Amino acid sequence: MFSKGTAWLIDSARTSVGLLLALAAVFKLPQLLTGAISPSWWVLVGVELGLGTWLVLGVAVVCASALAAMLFTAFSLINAFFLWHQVPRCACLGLLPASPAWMLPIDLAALAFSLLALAAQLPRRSTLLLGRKT
Amino acid sequence: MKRFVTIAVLVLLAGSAAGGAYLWATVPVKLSGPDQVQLGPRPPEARFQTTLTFRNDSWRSVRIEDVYFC
Repeated sequence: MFSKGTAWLIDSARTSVGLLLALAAVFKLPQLLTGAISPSWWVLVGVELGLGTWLVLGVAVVCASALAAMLFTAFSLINAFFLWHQVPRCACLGLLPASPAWMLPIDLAALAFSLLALAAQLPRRSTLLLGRKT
Repeated sequence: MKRFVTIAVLVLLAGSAAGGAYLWATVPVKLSGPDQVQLGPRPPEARFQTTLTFRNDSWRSVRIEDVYFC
C-alpha cells in the first residue's frame, strides 16, 4: 500500500506520537507527587506512559494505533471545548506551559498520524494472516 | 479499505464518547443569582488595590465581578 520511504515516515510519526505521550506523562509526575493536581490524574499518566511505550516499541501496532487514535480524539474534543471557552492554560504537558490553542493542532496531528499508522498496518496484517491481500 | 473505515469510525466515536464523558463530569455548575463569598476581614490595603488568590484545581476559569468589601 505504501512505498518503503512512506512506511518509514509513518513509523517515525508513530514513534514521535509515542514519545509525546510518554513525555507528557513524565512531566505530570512532579505535579502528581507534590499534590498540585488531583490523584485521579494517575490514571491518565498510567495510560499515557503505557501507550507511549507501546507505540515506541512497535509491538501490535494495530491495537496501539487504534487506542492512540481514540485517546487523541478525546484530547482534541476536550481542547476544542477549552478553546471555545477561552481557557488560557491546560495541564496537557504537566510542568511545561501549554495552552489549548497550541495543543489542539498537536492533538489533531497526532490523531492523523495514529490513523495513518493504523491504515498502514491493516493490509500487511491481512496479507500475513490470510496469505493474500484483502 | 472498508475495514479501515469501519475501525476508524468506531475509534473516533469511542474517543468522542470518552472526551464527552470527561467534559460532562468536570464541567462547572453554573451558579445563578448573587453569590457571596466570605473572604475574612478586609485587608488594610483593600481600599485601593488588593489581590485575591484562588486555588483553581481544574481547568475552570474563575470570573470575578462586582467585589464589595463590607
